[in-house]
Amino acid sequence: MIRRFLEGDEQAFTELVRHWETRVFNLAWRYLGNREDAQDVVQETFLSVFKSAKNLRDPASFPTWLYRITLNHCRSRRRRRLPDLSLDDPLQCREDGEGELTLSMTAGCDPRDPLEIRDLIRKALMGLSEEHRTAIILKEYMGLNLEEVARVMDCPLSTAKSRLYHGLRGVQRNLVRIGIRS
Amino acid sequence: MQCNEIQERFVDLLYQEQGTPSASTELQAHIRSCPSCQKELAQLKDLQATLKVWKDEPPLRPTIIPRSEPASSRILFPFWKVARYAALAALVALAFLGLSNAQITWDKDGFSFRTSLRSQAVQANYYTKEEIKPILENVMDISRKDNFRMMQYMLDTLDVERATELRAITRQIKESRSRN
Repeated sequence: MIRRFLEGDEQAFTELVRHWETRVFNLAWRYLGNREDAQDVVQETFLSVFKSAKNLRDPASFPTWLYRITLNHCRSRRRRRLPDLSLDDPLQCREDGEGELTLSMTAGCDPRDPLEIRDLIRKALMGLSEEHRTAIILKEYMGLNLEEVARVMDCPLSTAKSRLYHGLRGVQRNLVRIGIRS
Repeated sequence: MQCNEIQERFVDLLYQEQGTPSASTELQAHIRSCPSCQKELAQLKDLQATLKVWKDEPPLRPTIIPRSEPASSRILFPFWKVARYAALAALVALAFLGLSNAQITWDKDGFSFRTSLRSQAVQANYYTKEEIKPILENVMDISRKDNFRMMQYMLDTLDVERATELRAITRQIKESRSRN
């Protein structure tokens, strides 16, 4: 499908879009924390893919190339917007003396509700730096291996591992702050 | 091996990917003997499970597929594009003519086109009213003085001629009296 697209087959491009749009959307959603912005990024990404297909030499590297374009659009969009969430949540934060993750409930918060947990994870991710958040999203959600993560982020493998490790620790700390058991 | 030395290698332990450096014997031995690192590794695995709660969702709406224009509808030089460029070129030409004080004349001697980018050079060909006034006054002054001198000269000449004639007449009278 990718090869046919690179040869100029427009029907192949339609199939390509339908195949990858969900992944691109979820990458952008997790990066930006906002579905509407993510939808716009999807459109911009495939427009860029359409225009710059000739820049792709190896069809096998299409996923990493696509994710890199997506992240570039995400960063541009993020620079244009102010952050729209903070970790100063109405949820109570409680941490015992040993830094153990504990559950803290307030009225109206059901930690078993996946949508609530998802929202808290979203906030915890948004509290990270862009590099740490990118590393976690690419590894934990996009299913790339460590080499591919390094390639998308255009950094050495050791740097990608370091960002991933510190990103995971950062999410852990943020989830403790907003009161959810890991 | 210290705990802070192996923290970043947790990633290798966590993912155990083929082709990446696998946990060395030393690392695994440390993990087995260090409760703190064991707890941290367990927490990271728990965290991975928590992160998976956030499932993928479909996009809000289908992506609009970009399409390239068919070759037949692409005209190399469409009319409105040419008209736009022509209008722009005409404006630039008019602006140049205006700024350069262009003079275009067409008379019996032929067609002439002159420009001058220095406006002072054009203005120097014409005198203003204020500039002409003192010049005229000067000319009239000079001519007044010249006229007076001319008149004086004429009068002096007449005097001289009258005096000459008078002497001639006086001589003739004396000669006639002496003959008588």
